[in-house]
Amino acid sequence: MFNKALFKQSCKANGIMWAIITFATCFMLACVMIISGNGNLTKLTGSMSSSIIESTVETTMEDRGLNYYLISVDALQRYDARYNSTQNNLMALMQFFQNDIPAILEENGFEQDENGEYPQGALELQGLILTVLNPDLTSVAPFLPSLGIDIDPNMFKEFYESHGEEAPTYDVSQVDSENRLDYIKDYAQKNASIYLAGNMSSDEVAQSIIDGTEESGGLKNYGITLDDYKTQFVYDDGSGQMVSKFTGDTGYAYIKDLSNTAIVTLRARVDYELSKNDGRPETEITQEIIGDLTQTFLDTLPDEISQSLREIGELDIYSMIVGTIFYNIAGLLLPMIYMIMCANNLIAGQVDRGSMAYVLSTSVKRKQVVFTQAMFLIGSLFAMFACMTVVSVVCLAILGPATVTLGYGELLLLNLGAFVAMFAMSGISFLASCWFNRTKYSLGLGGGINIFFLVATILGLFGSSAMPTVVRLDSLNFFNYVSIISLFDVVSILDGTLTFIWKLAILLGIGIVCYIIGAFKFQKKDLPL
Amino acid sequence: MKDVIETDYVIETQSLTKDYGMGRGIFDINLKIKKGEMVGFVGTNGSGKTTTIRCLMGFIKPTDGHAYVCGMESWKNASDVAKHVGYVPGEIAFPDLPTGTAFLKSQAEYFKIKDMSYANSLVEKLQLDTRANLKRMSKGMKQKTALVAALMNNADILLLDEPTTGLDPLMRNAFLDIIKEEHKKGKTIFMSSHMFNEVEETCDRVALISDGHLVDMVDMKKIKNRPSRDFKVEFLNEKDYLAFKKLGYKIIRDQEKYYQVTVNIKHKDINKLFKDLSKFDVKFISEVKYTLEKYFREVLAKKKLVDKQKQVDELSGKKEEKDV
Repeated sequence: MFNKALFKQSCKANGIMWAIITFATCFMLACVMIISGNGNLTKLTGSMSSSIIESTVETTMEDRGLNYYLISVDALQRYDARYNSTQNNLMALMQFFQNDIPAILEENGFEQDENGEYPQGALELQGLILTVLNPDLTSVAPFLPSLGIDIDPNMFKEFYESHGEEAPTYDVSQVDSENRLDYIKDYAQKNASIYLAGNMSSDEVAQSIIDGTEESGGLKNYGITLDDYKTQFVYDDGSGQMVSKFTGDTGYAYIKDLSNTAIVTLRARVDYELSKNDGRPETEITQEIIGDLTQTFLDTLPDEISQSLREIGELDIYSMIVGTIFYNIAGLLLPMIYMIMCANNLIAGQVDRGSMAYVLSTSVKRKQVVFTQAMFLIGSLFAMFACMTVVSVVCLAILGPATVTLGYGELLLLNLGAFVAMFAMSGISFLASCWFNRTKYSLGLGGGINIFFLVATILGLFGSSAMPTVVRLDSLNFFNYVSIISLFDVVSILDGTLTFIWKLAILLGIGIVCYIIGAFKFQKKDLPL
Repeated sequence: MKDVIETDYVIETQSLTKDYGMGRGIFDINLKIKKGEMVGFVGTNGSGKTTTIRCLMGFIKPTDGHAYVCGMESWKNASDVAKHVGYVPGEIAFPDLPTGTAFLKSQAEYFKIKDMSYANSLVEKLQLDTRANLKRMSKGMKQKTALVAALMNNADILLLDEPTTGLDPLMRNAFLDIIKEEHKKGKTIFMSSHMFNEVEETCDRVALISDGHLVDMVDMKKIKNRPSRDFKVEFLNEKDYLAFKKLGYKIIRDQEKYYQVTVNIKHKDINKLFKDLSKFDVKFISEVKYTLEKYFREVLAKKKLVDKQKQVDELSGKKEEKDV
């Protein structure tokens, strides 16, 4: 089947073109990978996503602060009521533990499970109430286990001290005074903010914000690590030094301030709305204002814009440039030029010129000719993409996988996919080359179809899901359905889904079928030699 | 249909037909060429010479009939046929290789020839500089290179498709000499040409193809050793001219205006003619050579006449049918 002499001759005839195109493609690939990986490519999306994330985190903190404040006010009022009825701190505290805390938890949606235990969130709330109240637990300590409460009597005091705050004492002496509600609100505002700041600025909480829960997904989905969280979100502490917003002592101060400001705003606006005296209940007004205050930056924008901003924030520009722009389009162009010219040279060109006569008049079978030439075409393309693979892996190693989001596995799959796509297209060109005796038809049809596929892919790119919605033209997505290059599913490879496998299998099938039909046609047709 | 037949002929076609439609192609070609013969194949451009040779090489599949080389059906056994044939294509186009040497080396690899001494001796004999760039070779050099490529595996049969086209007369003669030499070695040569005189000089037999049909196959000996000769005689005056005409010679052309007659004379009567002519005032006498071209002209004219007659017959036949 295989004819060594013919293979050698094909190498000599197409070798220089192969070398030039391979060099050019590899050079282009190296430029794309190194420049876009080293440059400030990710800065735009980085700053965009981090400012969006920053505002979202801040809003979450404010939301939590307001919530803590309201719960604290509620809890303090309940405690006042207990104290009013018993006039005894110990009794009031006991009843508060026994009745009010479970009631508050239940109002906030936490229920005991069969073992009488509360979920994690309930403990946090319980901690909030007790921290804010900061009761003198030494007297009730012996009774606590019987209530199912297991706490260190001194932990609240220690909490305050560890943040350099003075432990407050909830003053019940003036429980009947007129300004009692204002006192409660001030007290709750100050101490709920401290609790929030103290809690949220710890590294464990930061980690849990990044990890997120299963439903909501944390910040790690946006590519944020704990280090980013600590170093990217910063503010000027007044001395010109940028310090962390959400972690450590500086984070504590910032969050406390954030919460305080939010609560003050809430209180001021609630007072203003109440002063209008339009008959609406205070709770409704409060909820409405909280809704206003806790809108994130994205919530304030129209849906389309917020959606596209979110997408840009999530956009992995590096993978898009290397994967979609290079491997799906730019990196296919040069190999395609080689492939089209080479496929034509191997069969139709030689038949058209007549030089095939010298091969066939030497007892080389047509089957051998077509098999050898197909092997040469496939082999040279494989070698070309092997070179590209080596170059791309070296480039990624130079960049260091940490600096870019692209992994080695994805990179290898991109190279493999591009080769399979090229294989399928080379099948079409080879078929045209076998089918026609004239170069003009072989190039026109075999090359034309493949160029059409590439152009359709370029147009389709602007309508594909790889493009963020801001710049996406949905109508152009039509072109993706008329190009077989779409079967090389870069988006699927980068997302780690498996759809690309059956699509590549189709490409492989197209290529094999085209080569086989071409081989049969060449053996059966008349040759004008 | 048999792939392999028992035959005495090295080249044989059995009602070979390749119909390209619109009356183009070759129709019902029957050729029989014995081993060691040198056969010319003449016809005007587009008459089907190249098509016939392509069929013999197995490059194209006949619509009907078969071409056999060494008893093997060409289309089915093209690669085996190629082993016995050295082929010089009509259009010389070399593969994309740098020099003549590289080309000949690559051909040798196809032939699986390791020993290049025979090829080198051919190159020497042809005075060919194979180091030249293939693309910049002159037509003559290309033809020579192609001939070396065809001869290098020492095949028994040479198929040459218009090998001398485009060569200057000196080069052409040199080229034909080489082919004749190969013929002397006992090779069978089948050479197409649109120039009658060159096949006339070299070939044993000549086949004439016209519009895809094999019109005639003639032995050159027959033409060269015709039993009669034609002589053209011009007389100085009308009296002699008229008197000569009365002598009863076979006059094939009579030009009264110039007092010219062309007579056909048997070999043995030549002396008698000269004796008779000595009595008249003769302006000049010359032999009109009977060439292959002339012969074929006659054949074609006859064929045309027959065809016309056939057409007329057919037409009248149809008319009669209608009348009936």
